[in-house]
Amino acid sequence: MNDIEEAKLIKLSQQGSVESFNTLIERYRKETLNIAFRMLGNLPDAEDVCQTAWLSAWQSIKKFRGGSFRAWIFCIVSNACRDEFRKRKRKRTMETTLTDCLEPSADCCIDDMVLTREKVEAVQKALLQLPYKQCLAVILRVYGDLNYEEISRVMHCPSGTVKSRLNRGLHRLRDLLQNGKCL
Amino acid sequence: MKTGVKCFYKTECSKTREQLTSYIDGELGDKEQSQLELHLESCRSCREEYNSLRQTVSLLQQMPEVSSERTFRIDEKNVAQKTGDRNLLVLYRAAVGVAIILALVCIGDFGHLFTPSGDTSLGGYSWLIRGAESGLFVVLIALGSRILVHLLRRRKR
Repeated sequence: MNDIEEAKLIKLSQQGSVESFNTLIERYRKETLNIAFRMLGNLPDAEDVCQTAWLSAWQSIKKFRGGSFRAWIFCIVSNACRDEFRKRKRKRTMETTLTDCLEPSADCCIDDMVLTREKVEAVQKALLQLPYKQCLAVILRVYGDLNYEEISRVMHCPSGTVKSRLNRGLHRLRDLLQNGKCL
Repeated sequence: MKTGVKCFYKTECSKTREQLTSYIDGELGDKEQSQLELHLESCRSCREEYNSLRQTVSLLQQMPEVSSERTFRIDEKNVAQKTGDRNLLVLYRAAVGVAIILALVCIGDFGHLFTPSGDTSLGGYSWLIRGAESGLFVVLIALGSRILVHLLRRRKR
């Protein structure tokens, strides 16, 4: 799906077409789920957060004024993650191990020892140990593939703040991984 | 002079370290990028720092994706339910607001704020009767709003 097709689907969704909106969901389903999972460390919660986020996206699609739909939906998902995070009283724990819910195609990657299961879990655990805002910045950059400008819009902060959050987050992550002998 | 050189390198290194993430993400301008690359060539510790951060990013990128059987598709049913829930919430909040205002009025009445002084038509137990009246009124309003919300919710389902 190219950008023109996406713009058409957004327009149709704004006119009330549920089917067009479902095509958009299908396009971003995996990415939104992965972002929520990496933020929360728990698959059932990540699924619920995504469902809530897509429902509120549908309700506010008319307010979408153009620009990057990807950044817009990630903003809604990150807000839903923040609400879930507050509901859990600021605890982010790894209740589902990542290796329990991997993509079937990812198994070969693990079996080939590109990444060992222990390493995969150590990385996920290290991500959850980061302060919330640093974690969100790192996840949006690495897994959401957003640039600094887009991240600043998602996180409602200046681009300089994004830079420092990413820098501090990555340094901290590196230290955690080095301590866990993953690097 | 020696201290000056040391100081210069320290500033240069800390500046470089602050920019390493932006460099890895390709978010540095051309001039800053070439300055940083020049520094990396000459400074071993910054190069090591850069390599460790690069490895961290690469490890993050290699992480496998999670999958789920849930489609998150929107259908008319869950859209209607969500809108209905929101309307009920608004209604419930309005009912609670009205109940609070009426409760305040009743409490004021209980404290004889709305009664002209010297009204003794209810005898010596007027405060007791007014209090019981006000309490009953508040309980009835709270119960009524709760029942109304419950009935509307059942009807929606």
